[in-house]
Amino acid sequence: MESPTETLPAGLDARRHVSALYQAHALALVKLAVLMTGDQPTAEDVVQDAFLGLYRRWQALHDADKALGYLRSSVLNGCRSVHRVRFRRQGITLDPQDHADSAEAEALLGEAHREVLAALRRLPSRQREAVVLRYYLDMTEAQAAQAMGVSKGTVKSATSRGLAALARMLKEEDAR
Amino acid sequence: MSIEDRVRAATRARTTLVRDIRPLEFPDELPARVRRARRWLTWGAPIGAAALVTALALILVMLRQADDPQPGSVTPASGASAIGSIPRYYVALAQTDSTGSQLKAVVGDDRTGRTVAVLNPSLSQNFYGVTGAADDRTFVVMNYTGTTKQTTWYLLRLTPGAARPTQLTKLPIKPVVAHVAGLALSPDGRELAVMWRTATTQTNAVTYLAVYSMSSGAVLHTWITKGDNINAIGGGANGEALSWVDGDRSVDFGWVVFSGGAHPSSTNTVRRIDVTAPGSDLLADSRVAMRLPRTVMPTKTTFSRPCGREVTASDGTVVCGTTSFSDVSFQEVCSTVPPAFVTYSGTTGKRLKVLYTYHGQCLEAQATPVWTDPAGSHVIAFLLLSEKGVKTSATDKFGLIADGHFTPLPKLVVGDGDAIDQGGLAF
Repeated sequence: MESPTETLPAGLDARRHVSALYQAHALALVKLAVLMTGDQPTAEDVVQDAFLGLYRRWQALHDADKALGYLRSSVLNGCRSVHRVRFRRQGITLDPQDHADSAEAEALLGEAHREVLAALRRLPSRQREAVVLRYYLDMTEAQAAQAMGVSKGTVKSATSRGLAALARMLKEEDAR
Repeated sequence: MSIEDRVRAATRARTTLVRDIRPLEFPDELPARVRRARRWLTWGAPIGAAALVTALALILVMLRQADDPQPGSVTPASGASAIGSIPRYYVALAQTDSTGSQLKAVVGDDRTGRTVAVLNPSLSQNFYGVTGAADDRTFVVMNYTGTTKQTTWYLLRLTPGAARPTQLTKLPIKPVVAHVAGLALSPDGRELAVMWRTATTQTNAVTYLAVYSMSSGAVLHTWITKGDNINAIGGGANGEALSWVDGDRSVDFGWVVFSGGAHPSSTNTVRRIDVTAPGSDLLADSRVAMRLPRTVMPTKTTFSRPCGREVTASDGTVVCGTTSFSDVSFQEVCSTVPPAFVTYSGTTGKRLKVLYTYHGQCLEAQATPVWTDPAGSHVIAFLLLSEKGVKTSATDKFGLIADGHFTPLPKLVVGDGDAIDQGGLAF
């Protein structure tokens, strides 16, 4: 027998469901996005957009259990877009408040943590995602693959390359 | 330590610094599915354009052939034209659901009744105050975080019609751990006045008035007064009705003066402080702009408080709303002490003009001005009436007061009266 699937109500109930999801998961997703983007205001923007995207597509979502997976993928996509925009806008001054928030937060961390985070931000997006999902969220390769929308093999190689690059960068940093 | 462990430690250390996030900002309506709209667009757009051109041509022909338009369709009613003089957008606090104690912020349009956006607090947050600038687009929403007991402020900018009509940004103002009694954004949106009170016992309260720069979050000026029992925790109306006057040079605030002795009494005043002048003593550096009139008893059982609630216009005129009540159950009071909105001079304290008087019956009435134009002549008001024959609920009426008339604002959708009392409605 087929297991029952929750059919999600449309219209105004979408707002209630998405609000409940926001209350339950937004903070964790902002934390994930902070690791990807490096600053909290941008991370909050990305997460807001992900939830609004879910809200807009609520009627098309037929399984409530998939909402969190959808949100996580949206956040990762949003963070990639941020990096693409930043790359295109190199040379344009960003909002100084973003940097101030980020600098203040990182000033509270020890030197060793700051080095790791700086190295993490220098990784290509896919490697950074794989490393963060595997070692910050402790996801399995299969779970990380689902969140990133790639195969397990891709996660495995991206993680391996990411860790190797991190080790190299941190070794260089230590040698200075 | 392995590289994996270093990543774990660093990422977890960084994310522990993320404690508060801003609330979710919903757009007004659930939009149609984008993909389907795009498919329609490819062949629908040319057909639509052709239909539009045909319709326009038909309308032009009909207009040329038509008789003179009917008078009623051309001249708007006086109430309608007056409604055009008030801000279109407002932010109101409302309960997140029927059982919850959290307040969300609803951005509304009083012309159409449309909800522009809803800002939902996260689990540990709660909104408890809102204020607006004169441009009808800039607001500040005050937020309390239960886990840290801190009050913080968010800038809310409206861009009606945009895909994302609201932008919420945390202001770089240092949070306070205190009871915030008053909040007022200057009409030009550059400065934020906040009055708050700290107290650990009933007698050691300290009241602060601070003016912050909206752009940098820096404190531009602070005034302090140390209280005794007159500043008891949660007591009095000190700091209520905080508002900017005199071209953003001064700030008015409500202040209760208690007199002790054998027959202790209190006097409600409006004090005015020049924010451009030096000084740091809240009471010594401010002056009484107006003593609010005391409660009167036209009969042995009916009472009228002429200035139960007040709001100050930016020219200094004080707009008061009366509270009418009786100490006898189910006694008709409005025929004896009708609720009214009256203006007073903020310079001399003299009564200037009765803006509107309610001529109807009620058991109890509370007239609350919630917004006024710079001259105190157009007022958005809230009339709370307890009426005869209505067993449980009261009738809440929002309206615009102008030229002696009360024009209902049915499209101003504000739910909870308590939220308004707590500064939960701003235009």
